[in-house]
Amino acid sequence: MNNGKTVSAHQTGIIAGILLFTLKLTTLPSLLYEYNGSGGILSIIFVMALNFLFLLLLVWVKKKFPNEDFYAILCKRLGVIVTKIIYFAFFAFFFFKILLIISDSFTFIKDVVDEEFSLFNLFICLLPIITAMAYSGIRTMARTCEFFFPVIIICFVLAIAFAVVPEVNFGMGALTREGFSGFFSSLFRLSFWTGDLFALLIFMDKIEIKKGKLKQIFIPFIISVVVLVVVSAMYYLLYQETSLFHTNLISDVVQYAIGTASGWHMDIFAIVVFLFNIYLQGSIFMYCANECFKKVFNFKNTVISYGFINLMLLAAEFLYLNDYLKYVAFAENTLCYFATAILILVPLMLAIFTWLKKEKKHETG
Amino acid sequence: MSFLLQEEVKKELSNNLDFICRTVTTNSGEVLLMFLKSMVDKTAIAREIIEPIISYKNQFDFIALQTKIIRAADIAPIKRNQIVEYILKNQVVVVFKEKYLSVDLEKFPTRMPSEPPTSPNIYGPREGFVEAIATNISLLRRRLPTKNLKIENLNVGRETNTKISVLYLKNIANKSIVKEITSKLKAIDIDGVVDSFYIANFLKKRPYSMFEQVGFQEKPDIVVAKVLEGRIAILVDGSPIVLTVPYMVFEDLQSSNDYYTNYVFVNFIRIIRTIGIALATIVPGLYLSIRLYSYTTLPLNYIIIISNSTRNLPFTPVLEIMFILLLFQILYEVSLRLPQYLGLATSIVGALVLGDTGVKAGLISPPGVIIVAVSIMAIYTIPSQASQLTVLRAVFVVLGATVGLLGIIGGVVYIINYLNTLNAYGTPYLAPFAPQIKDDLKDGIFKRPLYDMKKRPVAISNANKIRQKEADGNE
Repeated sequence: MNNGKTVSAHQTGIIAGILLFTLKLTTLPSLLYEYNGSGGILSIIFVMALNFLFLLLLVWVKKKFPNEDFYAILCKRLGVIVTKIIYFAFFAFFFFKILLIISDSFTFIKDVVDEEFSLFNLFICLLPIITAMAYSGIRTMARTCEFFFPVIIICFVLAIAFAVVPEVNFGMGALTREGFSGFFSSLFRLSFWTGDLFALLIFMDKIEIKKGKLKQIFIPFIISVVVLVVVSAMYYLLYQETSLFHTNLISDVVQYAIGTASGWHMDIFAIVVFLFNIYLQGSIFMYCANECFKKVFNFKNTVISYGFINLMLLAAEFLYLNDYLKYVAFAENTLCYFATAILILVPLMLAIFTWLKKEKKHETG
Repeated sequence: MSFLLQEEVKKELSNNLDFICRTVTTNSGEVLLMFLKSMVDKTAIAREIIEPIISYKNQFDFIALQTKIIRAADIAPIKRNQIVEYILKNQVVVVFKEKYLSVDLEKFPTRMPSEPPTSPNIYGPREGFVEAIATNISLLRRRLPTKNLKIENLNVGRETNTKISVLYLKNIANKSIVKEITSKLKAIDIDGVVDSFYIANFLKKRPYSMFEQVGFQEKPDIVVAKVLEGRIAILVDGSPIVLTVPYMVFEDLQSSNDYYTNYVFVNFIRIIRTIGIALATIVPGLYLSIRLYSYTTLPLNYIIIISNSTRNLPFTPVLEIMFILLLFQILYEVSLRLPQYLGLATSIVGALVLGDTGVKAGLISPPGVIIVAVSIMAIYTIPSQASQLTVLRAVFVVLGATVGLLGIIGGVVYIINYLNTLNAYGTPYLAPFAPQIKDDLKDGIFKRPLYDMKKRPVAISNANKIRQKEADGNE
């Protein structure tokens, strides 16, 4: 429950904005190209619109259930067992998201930053930091996100600024080449790359939206959406048919433009944007995974539960999913069913519960 | 009787040589004066006590002695069991017919208020605090002649019995914070308090954290400005540093000069200071990480320049940077401790050895020297954070050398997240940036003119938010 450690509307908007980045800054556009050609940008815009609708839904839910947490809402209506199953699904969702972030980061760092980078280095640096951040609580993490959001946006703008060159051929015709079948199949197959905003549900009881502060949620979120859409559009316009082979969107966009000149490239801002995001998003997912884990297994000791999740991550990464391509295939062929189910059912369920509460109030009133 | 008393007090004061008992014989009986000669004004004793007693020709009693004869301004009756306590508080104890008076004629060597070396001003007041608490209180009271100024006094330290004053404006400061601070001070049970830093340790909410959680100020104008914002000042006798709480890290980004200069220039300078923090902490680590792991992130021209100048070095990049950092740090420590004329000589030798001879001998590279020198100089854009930034720089060197860019960014994120967990006395450590407080940002990295700052900082819990009433006639 709300114990004074609240997250403001502005911070919620920033968290929502940051949750949009990371995975969409690297492989997603390239994977979308596989299904939908350069029309992948339409998928990205569509996903952003869905995220926006989800944020609107969350605001509506918060109005109807101002101080109730998501677990309590589900428990009252679906019973403890069903709620635990849903929370277990959420735990799995966030757990695999962290794995995807780790794998994605590893590939990005090897491709862009350091060819000889080892997975061990990633683990000794990334896991302890995101765990420590998650352990510090959602209010602290929200403040950290708030602190870095302007830095991330400035680095984004600088990265884009370095990428912009006048001689680029903007082939707009490529956008609609694949038709709508690719559009829908891309949405389904790559559904696991979306749904990041569900993290907000896990700490919705701590979100505090004061009167007149509603727009503060949407401003940072919209800034993030605009930045992401602009970078993605640039990517498709720059690389066109070769988009499939460029799996590091944010870095590749910068390198295309600058690389054409005298070997002068300056992708440090793109790297910084990505690295900031993996820490921030990773910690939020770690926090959410832990909250779900604790609820499902009635765990009281936070240190042990974080330790357990870390061990599971290490085991999963080293035993099975350390190959990024294998993991992508797993996400595209298996996790997509699971993710689509969550992506459709959870908002639907939440909307019905909220709507019913409203109706009930009318009847009694 | 008076002889017995003298002996008793002498014994209690361990027969100290500076303890003086002076008996003045009058028509009305003997008047005994007891004091520590090193801590009182002997001329004043003669002028204010002895001379009036001797020249008083009539019979007198204790009341007359207190009200008519002794000329000193600060005088109060005390009990017999308080005699030693008051002597140790540098008072003159007057004994007459088994009744006791304490007379304040305290005097000991003190420094005159002068400009503190660490906070020089171009414009604005140049006074700094001194070691005597009474002088420091007078410096503050002169600037705050208001009935709302409240000073609570207490003594801490079993042996030193150090005077401590808690100073605040009762109509602005948050009462619960004042109460919390005074109760923390009262709870201190230590043998001695030598300096305000001793007290600062007890006021920290996280005593093991290397980050400051209490403000350290050397100038009365700065303390007054902070007290006006709702902070509480703690003065410690014997220390020229006044503590202020609550504390936010961005206070150190501000300088007293900022408030006596054009705000546009101040904005520029604050941006420079912010860049200074980044240069001071991250740059050597970042240089290492780029040189070792991510050289492709730099433009080709820079890579060529760096690789040309580091080609034949005997050290690895990590050892080179650590070697230069170590030399700089040794020179810094030496220059701090040596007399000024020797310090200058060391600086010249250091500059020659590091800047010229080291490079010519091929031991260190010019980029390495530039990187470390820039980092060391940048620390002093915020001198009050120098110790923390020095440690952080070493941490980032290790991170950059071992994990590269991922480590540097991870370190930055972790430290900011850690700072966000510090929340002393209800004030977020990174306010007004995290959480973002719109009104307080008027005095953040960008400063607005004083006219625009109508409210007291929201981040600091205080009883009265309004600082400035709307004025007519402004554009």
